[in-house]
Amino acid sequence: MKTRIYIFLFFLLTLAGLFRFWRLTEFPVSLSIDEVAVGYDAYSILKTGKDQFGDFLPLAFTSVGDYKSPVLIYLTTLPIALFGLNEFAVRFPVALFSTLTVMVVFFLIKELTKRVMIGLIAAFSVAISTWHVFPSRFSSDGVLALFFVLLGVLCFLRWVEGRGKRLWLAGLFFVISMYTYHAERFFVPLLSLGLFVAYKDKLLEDKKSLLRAIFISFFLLLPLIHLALGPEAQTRPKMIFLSKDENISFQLHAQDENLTLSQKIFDNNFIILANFWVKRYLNYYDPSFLFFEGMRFSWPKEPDAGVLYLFELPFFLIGLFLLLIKRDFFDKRARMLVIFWLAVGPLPASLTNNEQHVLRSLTLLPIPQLLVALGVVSVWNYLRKIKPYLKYTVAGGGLILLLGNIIYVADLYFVHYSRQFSEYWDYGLKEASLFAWEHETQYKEIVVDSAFGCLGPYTVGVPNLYILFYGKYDPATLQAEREAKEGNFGKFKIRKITWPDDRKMVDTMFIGSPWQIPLENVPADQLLKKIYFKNGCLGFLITKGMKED
Amino acid sequence: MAKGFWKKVTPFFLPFFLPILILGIFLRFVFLEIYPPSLTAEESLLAWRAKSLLETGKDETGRNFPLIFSSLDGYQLPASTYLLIPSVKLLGLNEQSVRLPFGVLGSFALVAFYIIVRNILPIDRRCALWGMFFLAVNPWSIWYSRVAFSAGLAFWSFLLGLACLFLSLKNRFFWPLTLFLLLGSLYADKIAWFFVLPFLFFLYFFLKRKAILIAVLFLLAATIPLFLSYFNAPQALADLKKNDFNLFEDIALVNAIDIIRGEHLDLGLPLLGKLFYNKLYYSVKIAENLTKHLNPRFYFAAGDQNPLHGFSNFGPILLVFLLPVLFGLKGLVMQKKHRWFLIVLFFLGLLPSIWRFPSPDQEKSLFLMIPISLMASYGLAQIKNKLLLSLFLVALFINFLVVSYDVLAKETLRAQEQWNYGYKQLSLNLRDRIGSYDQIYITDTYGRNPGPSLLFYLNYPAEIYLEAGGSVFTYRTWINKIGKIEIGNKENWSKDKNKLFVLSPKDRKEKDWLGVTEVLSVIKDLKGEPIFTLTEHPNKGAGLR
Repeated sequence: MKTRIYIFLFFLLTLAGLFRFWRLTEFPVSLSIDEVAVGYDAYSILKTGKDQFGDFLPLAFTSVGDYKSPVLIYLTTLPIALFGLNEFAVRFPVALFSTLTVMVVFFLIKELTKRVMIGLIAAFSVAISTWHVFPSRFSSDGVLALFFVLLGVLCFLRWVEGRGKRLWLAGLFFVISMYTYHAERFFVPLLSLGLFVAYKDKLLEDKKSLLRAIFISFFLLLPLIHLALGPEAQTRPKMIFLSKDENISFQLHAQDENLTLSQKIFDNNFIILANFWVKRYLNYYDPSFLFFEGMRFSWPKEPDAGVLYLFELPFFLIGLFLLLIKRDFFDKRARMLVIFWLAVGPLPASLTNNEQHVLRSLTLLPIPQLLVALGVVSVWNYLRKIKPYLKYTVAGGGLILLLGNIIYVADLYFVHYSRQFSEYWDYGLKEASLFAWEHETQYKEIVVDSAFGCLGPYTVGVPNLYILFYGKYDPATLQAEREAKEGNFGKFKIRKITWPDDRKMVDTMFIGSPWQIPLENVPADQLLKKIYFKNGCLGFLITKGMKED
Repeated sequence: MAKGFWKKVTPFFLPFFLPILILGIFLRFVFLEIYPPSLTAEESLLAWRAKSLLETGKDETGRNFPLIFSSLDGYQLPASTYLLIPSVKLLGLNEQSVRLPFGVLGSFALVAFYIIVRNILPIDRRCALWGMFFLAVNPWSIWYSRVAFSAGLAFWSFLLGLACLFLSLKNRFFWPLTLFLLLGSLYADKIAWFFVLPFLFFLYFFLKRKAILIAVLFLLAATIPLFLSYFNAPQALADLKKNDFNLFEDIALVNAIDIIRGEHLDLGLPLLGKLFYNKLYYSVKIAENLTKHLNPRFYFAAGDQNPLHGFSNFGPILLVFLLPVLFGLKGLVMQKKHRWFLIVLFFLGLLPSIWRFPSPDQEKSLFLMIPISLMASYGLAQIKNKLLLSLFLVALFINFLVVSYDVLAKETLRAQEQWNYGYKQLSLNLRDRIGSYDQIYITDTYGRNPGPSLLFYLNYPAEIYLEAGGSVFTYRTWINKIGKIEIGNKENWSKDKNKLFVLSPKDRKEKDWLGVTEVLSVIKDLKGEPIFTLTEHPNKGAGLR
């Protein structure tokens, strides 16, 4: 039996690896701003022990002004040391930990339900899950944090069952997850509370282990608490808090506004925000998000995919029904924990300024997959009672539907998403950077404009990071350059291009979008290269300045 | 015997039943002059048409007591118009006479729902009282009792009919009333076509009472004249598509499929495009619409955000009811008998809304209030702990106050244009001036469909309107001429001689007009901002350039 389980598990890991690693460097079509920032900071740490701004082994990386969490960056140093500074090295750690998450999910669900089959199906669901695979293919720290959270819960449950001896290990993984991603800083304390409420009998039985775990966790959290009190850790939460949402910010009262008594009671900012938050929170249970268009792989109204596969919908509903009604699959404590997790999972995401955020709502995983697994198992149990030919026909039909659904989602992701949204992945900056480095010696100055976009210069990128990344620019030199914080380094200047004036600058290369360098105003001898987005729209022009006759 | 009855009834009637009923009636009529802030064009037309039928026996298109009326956005079933005839006769043509019958029906429906819950969930009286209370205080039911919308009439009429049906099963005396009310529902709005007969058919299987089957057959036969009238009306299918199945009319969906297929063509994979992106996509959209009705956000937080369907900043059900509804759902699905009843009720309730874009539609899914009320009443009846109950009531009170404040202080300002606020004031202003001008031109850029609002607030004589030709019976009536008044068509406005112009800041060239005309009066909205400007040439009668 055990061998069969391990064979299945090996198959699941292979499948998960395939979903995550296949053409990893090509899809998404380009490294995002965050990815190049993570990659270059990791490279900088590896080479100098300091980040690109010269801070020694920081706990919050200045990065692109968002003070990134440290774990992913430090983890990325290893693949960069092994594979060099390239796309694969940057995406490797998250893809790897994401693959391993599948295994953790299996053991975790097995602990919760005491059933191997449910664990395997839930793990399978995570292995192919769009919700989990999509962010695993770019270096998103949410996926990494989820791995540590699940590992923490697994350690906790094993300790509860008397198989794991160290409760503090659970605390350790929880703390690591809090160092990994902002959402976990809010979610993990809540989840810990849920674990405590559900398993308080066992925890209070062994107060020594509990106190040790609390003490170790608290001790490890001290630097984070210290950081949280400073501006670095507050920057990001302040940037993305709910009140910054454009749909509500205009409804809030200004601080100096004179409110009437009735407004102070019934129409204050707290009530306005709370009402708005409820809408956001409940929207994470929107079946449309879960099964139809949550991934936003295409423009509105176009066919899209949910964070779960459409074929999982009936199983999910059955699973939900079983969770609430039947007591067969869980003991009382596990059931309480699952319901609690289901309720608090979307909390961190709902408090931020985006609606139905795929990455921030990862904290809900693997509960939806558990529900799907419950549904599948109960349907299978039902089918076992009917005639074999019918059983296998239904199962075969189900498999065809599953395969069709996966191909459909893969088509949306690999074909349409890459094509329609390439500019939002800063596609083209790699090509521009490589071209610039190739011809760098021929120019005194290279000017890069950071605004671009197909319909207008609405996207403001961080092209300097792409140039640093693809040029493997020496971090020590960068740190030494005084202008680095402005984005300028070496021959590269990041500024707005005003083509009518700039075109006369000799020995200067310009990289900008057609909005700054209108193609019709560029003589053929000044045009060096045209770079197109995947949808065929002209993204960047590379030109050179020339003295006018 | 009577003494025994009262002895049995008094302990719950006086302290619970009566206060809930009074509270429900109070919430249906209080501040009716403030909110909704005005009559919509549809309500105005409904009332003015009732007056026209009363005075001339003809509707606005000159047809004698028809079964189908042409409304502004499609054909309208007859029940709501005929319902208003007695109240317009008794109270005259005013806002009260339009909304009063709906408020009265909504109030009676509270009692009806008590009877329904007693029969469907015969657990104890508390359950039925909670059901009645739920219906009494929730925005969804309050809303449709305060406005004269045909969907509301279909719903209230059905609830009353269903209650009577349960009574009829014990006492035959109620059968005529039952059939009349259920028929009233079918003659009120098309949403009842999706729900009433299939539900009664299901109820027959559920209760195994032959009388219900006979009632279904009777209702089916009695609705045939309505179906015939409707489907014989010009472009009835176009109306059906536009108002009930507009998902299939959504050109954006067709374009979306074409775009995605085009990308496959570019890549040389036309077969993949054809395989996945074709007309089957409509079935995916329908499935999506169906599941969207499971989103708690729709019910408890946001609704469909259409101010003509309810309070646009809140859900149709108060947030505090979320947990009781969930507990009720859990409790009811655990019982096999109620499980299927609930599932069928829910499915039939959302049926009118799933063919629509956008979906869910708060008006089309009105019948969903029944299963949700059942869940809430069951869930609330399970609360035995007094402390928990007190906490719930306190939370409910706070929730209710917050919603009420928003509705009375902010929603009236937010949604006043959708409610055609200002046409009453304009009509009062015009009434004094109408005799002094040869022609009155009114802009159509503010609000929705000014014609019926002007007919109503001017209390325009039906006979004169019909003598001038009335309007045309088509699936989308557009009233743009009422005697001297001409609405819209600004490019054809005659600028010479004795004319009055009513402009809105929304008119692109308002400033040009104001530059050469003399402002007579300005009508402001609830925020104090101008919505209409009445102007004439400074040298009256001399004409404009």
